[in-house]
Amino acid sequence: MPPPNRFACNSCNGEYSETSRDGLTYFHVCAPLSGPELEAAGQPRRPDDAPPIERADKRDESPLVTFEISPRGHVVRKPAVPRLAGRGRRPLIA
Amino acid sequence: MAELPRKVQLLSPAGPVTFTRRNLQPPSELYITPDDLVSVTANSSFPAMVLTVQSRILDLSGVVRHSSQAMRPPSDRTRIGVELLLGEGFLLGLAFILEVAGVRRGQCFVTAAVNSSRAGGVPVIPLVSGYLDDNSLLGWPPYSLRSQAEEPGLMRTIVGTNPAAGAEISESVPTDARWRLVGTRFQLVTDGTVINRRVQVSIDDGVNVQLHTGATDVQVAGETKTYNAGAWGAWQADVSNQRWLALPPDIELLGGYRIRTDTLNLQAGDDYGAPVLLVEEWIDEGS
Repeated sequence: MPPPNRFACNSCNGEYSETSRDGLTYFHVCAPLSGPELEAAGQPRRPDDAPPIERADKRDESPLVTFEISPRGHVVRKPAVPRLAGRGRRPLIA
Repeated sequence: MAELPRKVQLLSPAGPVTFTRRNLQPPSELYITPDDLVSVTANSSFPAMVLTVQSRILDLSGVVRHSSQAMRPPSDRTRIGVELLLGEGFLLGLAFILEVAGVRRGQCFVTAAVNSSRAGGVPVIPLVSGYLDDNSLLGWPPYSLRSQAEEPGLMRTIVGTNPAAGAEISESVPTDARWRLVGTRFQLVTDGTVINRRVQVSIDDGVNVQLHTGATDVQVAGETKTYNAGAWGAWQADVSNQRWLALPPDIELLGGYRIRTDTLNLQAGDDYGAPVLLVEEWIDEGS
């Protein structure tokens, strides 16, 4: 069974496919808080054209690459991880 | 008395070209010392990419040696590198070979340079940099040094995140990528709350808003409208349920920049669909 390709973000509840139609990886990043989301959090809506307000649990799947030194002294590239994990994600069953 | 050999007369004419066979100069200007190595890098957005670097060197004993090094850059555009220890001699050639099919221009960027440990391991002689794809060859010689952001890039249609009801659209340019935004299209379904919504599109660098544009007409309760944002050149009247937003032409966005909606009077039951973006993409490391 192939791995799931479609996910829902647990932070913003947006739904997305991890692989785009052209085969390239899609990196989900949560949108800033909308007017209704600010109201639901007990905050006033921000004025039109004001700087966006990011959610505290923002998920950012942009790859973060780190390196480590191996026991033999070589620089080893570790697998990329999401820049911000947020609340994680869940697979959507088609 | 033995007969002396007679002088032989060649009947065929002499060839127009003659070759020297001894004390030849090496057929390359690039001498690799024991302190040098050839540093190769690759960035790719193509899934399961495999490429090989083929090299040919004339060593000090006069033997031409070949070597091959496989590279598997990840599909997240981040750079990987290998160092080729070719030994001492004259570098005759270097070639990048794709081991997978379907790679298009803009998806895999490679570089090669001679590094010297005496210079602190930094490149001292750049050899080649450019995009590798199914329809072209890349290598050295000749010296060919091209930028990552050189046109044309990779044309892509991207379906973004479908936001939850009451949330805005936001699409981010991936890390180590550069986009030229050609246009975007998305749908908004409004709930029954009686209020005028105005759809606006913002472009920012993750913090600072650089562009903010809006639809000319409002969307009322219980409507479904499709918005088309692009460099139209002129305002267009709404046609059926299609609306138009004007963007400047040739907007180039770096990694982390966002294209997002910023809707006046958006309601909790209003629901945006997943946006579709048409972009030209390049690998742009460090953007």
